[in-house]
Amino acid sequence: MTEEFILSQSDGRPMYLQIMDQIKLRITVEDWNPGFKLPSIRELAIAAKVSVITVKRAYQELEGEGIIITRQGKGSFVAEIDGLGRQLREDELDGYLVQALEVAESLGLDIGTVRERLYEIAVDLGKMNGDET
Amino acid sequence: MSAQIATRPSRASLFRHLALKDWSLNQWPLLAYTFCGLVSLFLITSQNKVVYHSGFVVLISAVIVFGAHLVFSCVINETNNRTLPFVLSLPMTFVEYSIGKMLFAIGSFMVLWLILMGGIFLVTNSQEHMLAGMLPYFVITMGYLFVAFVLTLSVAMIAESHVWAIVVMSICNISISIVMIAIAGIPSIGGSMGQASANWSPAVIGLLSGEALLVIGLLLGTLFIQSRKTEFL
Amino acid sequence: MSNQLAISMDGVSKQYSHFRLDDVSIQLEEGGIMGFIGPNGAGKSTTMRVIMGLVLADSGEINVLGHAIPDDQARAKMSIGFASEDMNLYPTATLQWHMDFVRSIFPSWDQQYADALVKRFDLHHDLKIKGFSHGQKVKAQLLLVLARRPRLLLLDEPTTGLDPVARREVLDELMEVLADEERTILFSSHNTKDVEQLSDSITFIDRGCVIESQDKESYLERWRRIRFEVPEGSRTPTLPGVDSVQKAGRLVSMTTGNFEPDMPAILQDQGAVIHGVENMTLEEIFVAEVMSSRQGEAA
Repeated sequence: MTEEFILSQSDGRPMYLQIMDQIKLRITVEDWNPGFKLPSIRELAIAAKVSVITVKRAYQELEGEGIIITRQGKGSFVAEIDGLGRQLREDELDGYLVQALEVAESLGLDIGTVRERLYEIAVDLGKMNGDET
Repeated sequence: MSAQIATRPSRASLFRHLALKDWSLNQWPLLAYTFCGLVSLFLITSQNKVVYHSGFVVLISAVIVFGAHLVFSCVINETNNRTLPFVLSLPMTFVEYSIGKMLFAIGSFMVLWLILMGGIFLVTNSQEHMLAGMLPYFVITMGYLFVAFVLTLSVAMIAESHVWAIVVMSICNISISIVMIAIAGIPSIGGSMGQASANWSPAVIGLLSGEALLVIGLLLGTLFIQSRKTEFL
Repeated sequence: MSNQLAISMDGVSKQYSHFRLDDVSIQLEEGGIMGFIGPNGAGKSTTMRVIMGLVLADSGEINVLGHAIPDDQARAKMSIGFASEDMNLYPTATLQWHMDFVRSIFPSWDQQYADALVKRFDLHHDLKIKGFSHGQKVKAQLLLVLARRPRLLLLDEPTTGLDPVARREVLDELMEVLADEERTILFSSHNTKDVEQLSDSITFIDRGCVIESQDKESYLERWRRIRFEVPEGSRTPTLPGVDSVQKAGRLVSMTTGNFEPDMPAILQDQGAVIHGVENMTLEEIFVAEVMSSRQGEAA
């Protein structure tokens, strides 16, 4: 389980973010369910070949987001939230949408334009019929 | 939170391991030169003047080459091959390393030297045609070779440069003929060479003592200089 | 993690004819791994030699695993494994000879582990060292220090010159070392990706001076690249503490090592349109640090 924590060498983002993403991914696909005990910071660091403080930071950030809970002396656990996996998926989508809006803003485009563009692209990709706008 | 007190091997044990290491890396050439030295002992028993003189050439050459191998393969090469950091990463100080190197170099040289000296005495006393009167002359010459070796070794260890070592070694070796003539020129030595018994005159004792003191002085001086170095690589 | 210091260097200086190691202070806690980076000739190798007692400093104090250096260096070295790219093994001897030699001196030698490493590193017991490729020589040196399981590993460029597979083998082994919380690693490397990934703390040295010595995450967090656009013809906005500014027409790219969250807003107040605020890789930070310190000297 911990053996597959491999960080991409070409991903330019900070490593603690990559670790967080991989943990979130396991929660999303329900490999790691609410209540599951995470590997210790050192175990994960060695498995992922990353420094201990990077993993520590990832765990701290995840705790800050409410995704994991650390109990003193016992370890870290996936938060006992029903549907946590689904929530994380929605959070990820929201992240992309926020980015899209920020780009639109910097290009001087309004929200209405963004929505139209979204529908046009969906039709082009065959994901929607043209009549559904 | 363990406070491990690392106990390192004793100095004696370290010196032994260093000497074994140097021996294992250099044994075949050193044994070969020793063999040549032993062969030369046979040659000098010959009644044939040419063979007799060749024997001495081989003897002196064996001693010189043995010493040269120790200096270059054993001392200078540690710097040239960059194996010195490897040895110095062992649990010892630089001075201890120098002592260990000296023990091996001087030790193995002395083994050869004593074998040949013993051989010369044996051969001279067992062969009627050989004159014991020559013994002081031989012994002083061999003593000179010892001093020359220690000098070259000291220069090599201090300067860590093969250039300096070659210069010193060459000067010593080229001067051998001159030195031998000078020794033979001393009345109590040259005059006694044709006699059947050895004349250990005050001049002889004086020269031999001088050689011994030089050797000790050089070794102590080298260790002193090594201990003042602030950089070992 | 224990708070004892594996390495403590305080105010260490050493004068050479063309170079000076100047007031170097480094602290490395036990159980940690520190990446030591800097340009060529910056003093990384010299610093590591000072820690090993192979070079005597002119001033300053050095303490390794509780032993004063150089006075107690012999005992310290029982617990230190040192490997360097400018160090060689004996060319006429075999790997087995070296293993026997090291084993005869260090009682902590683990023969089983050594044998496993020979296989893992794809080395040959009975080949003379002069027949080894460069990568194999490096791995052989590492094997000899790893098999003793020393409490401190001092590695000078352990992955330099290795092919990608060999590099992977070495880094995997180094990370295994850290499974023991009482073992510490200090390694210098040109490979900023490795340093960025593995290190708990980073020390940055240039021209004999320590520029930075800090835990990695905090250090990386201080640096940002801010990309923005300025309206035609207006002056480029400025910020205090900015390291470098690059312009291409109306597009500006600014790097800073003292990022504050209000910086984008300050730039916007000056008319900039922010395109992005990004973290920088260690390699980018490395270049920025060195360039700015060189410019500072030229100024």
